[in-house]
Amino acid sequence: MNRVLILALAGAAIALPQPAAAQKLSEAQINAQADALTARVEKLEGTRAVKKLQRAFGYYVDRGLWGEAADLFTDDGTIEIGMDGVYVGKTRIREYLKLLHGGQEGLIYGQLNEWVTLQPSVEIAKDGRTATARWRDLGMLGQYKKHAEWRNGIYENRYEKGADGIWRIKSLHLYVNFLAPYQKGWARLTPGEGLVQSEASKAYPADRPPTVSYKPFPEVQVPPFQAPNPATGKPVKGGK
Amino acid sequence: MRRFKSMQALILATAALASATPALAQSPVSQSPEARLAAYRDRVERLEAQDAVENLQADYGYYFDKGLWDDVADLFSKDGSFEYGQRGVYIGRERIRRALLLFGPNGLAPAHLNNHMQLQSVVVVSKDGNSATGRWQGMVMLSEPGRNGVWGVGIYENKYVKEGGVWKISSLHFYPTALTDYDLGFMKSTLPMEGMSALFPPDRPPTEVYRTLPGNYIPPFSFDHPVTGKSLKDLPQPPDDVLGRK
Repeated sequence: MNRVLILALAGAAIALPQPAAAQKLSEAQINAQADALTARVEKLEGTRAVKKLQRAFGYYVDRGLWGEAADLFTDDGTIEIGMDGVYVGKTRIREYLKLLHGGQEGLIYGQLNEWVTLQPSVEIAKDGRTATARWRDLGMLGQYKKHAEWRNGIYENRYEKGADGIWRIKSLHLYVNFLAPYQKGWARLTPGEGLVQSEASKAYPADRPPTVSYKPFPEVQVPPFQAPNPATGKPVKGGK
Repeated sequence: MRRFKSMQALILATAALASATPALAQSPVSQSPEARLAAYRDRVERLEAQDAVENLQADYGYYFDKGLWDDVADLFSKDGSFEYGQRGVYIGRERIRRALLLFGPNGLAPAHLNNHMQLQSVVVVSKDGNSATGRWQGMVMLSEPGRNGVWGVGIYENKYVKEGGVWKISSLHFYPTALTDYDLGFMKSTLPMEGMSALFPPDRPPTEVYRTLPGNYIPPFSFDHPVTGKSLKDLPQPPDDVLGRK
């Protein structure tokens, strides 16, 4: 049987092109190459972790789990949704999310609250410790027998890997493009109608004012791209 | 008899090792550290390629939405091709850059909505790691002043190539499969696709002629069935009396 195995391996060696790296390496070279591969795998894992994190945020907010959503952030993490301004830290984020949805734990009977979070483009920093990502928001919101809306927006978020090796949201920024009544649709929105400051943020003001001045649909708003064009490596100017 | 069995085992073992490159990592520990490192590097590179392709296609959607045509065109390889519905095929980055103006001016015009979502990817990286394919679900939300909104859905079947170490789109083909007037919805309204432009005709006519809903065309699958390994590139298409397809 051993003989067969040896023969088989010899056969395979002939059949496979010899990789360039198959020359004899020193112990130090082997370790260096293994370390380089480990760093690359860690970046791949970072991308997965960031995707999971942001999707979890969507799933938690969907079901009114404000505390679970807030716990995804770093201690100094921030959230900025539409014109509501910037809320800083887990406690403030939790309270803001709660008030934004009616002020109760969980959802109300008949409350539609789908924060569908799609199309990630994730950029992990060279050192593998931070990341940015752009996401598409497709919100299905409303209250049974009362009202229903489509929301359309873009997230440009930042993430950080803690000393404990866990990825967290450093800043979440949802540029709301419009909130349109389901029945009349987005095509009949008039200027200024697609985005207003929430009552929640008027009653519970943010720690900092909005970081940008918003131009919701039917105006044209291109949320600035944190990541460069992947083909040219140059910044995307359209967002400035 | 015994000898025959050994020979058979030998042939099978050789074939298995030679055919499946990724399976190298499950190869015997007797392999040299150099060969094992090389095999691991190949696998890491395939995973990196998948991530790069997923970012690339997501970015395509983000740029396309906002009429950032230069950024869209730059995502294509030098002789890349672009095909949207029944508009025909535009070949080469500069031809694509101009063809994109058929969708609107540079920078989205006011009161226009041009959302093209890029969802549900199935990406397959080639054995040599230098090319890939991707199938995507494309939901569409459109608007222009004075007209009803439009909902659409379709399939992307794209090809990608690594050019000078950077992943680019070598061929993008969007097959809208259903379009409707927002107010009426899919039950009451189905809209046709745009045809070839007379203003700036394509380099080639559409590679496949078909209709949107109520037709139910099946864009050929770039990826083989993940369990049976069967190719789904050449499926029978629904009958169409105009095309003479039974």
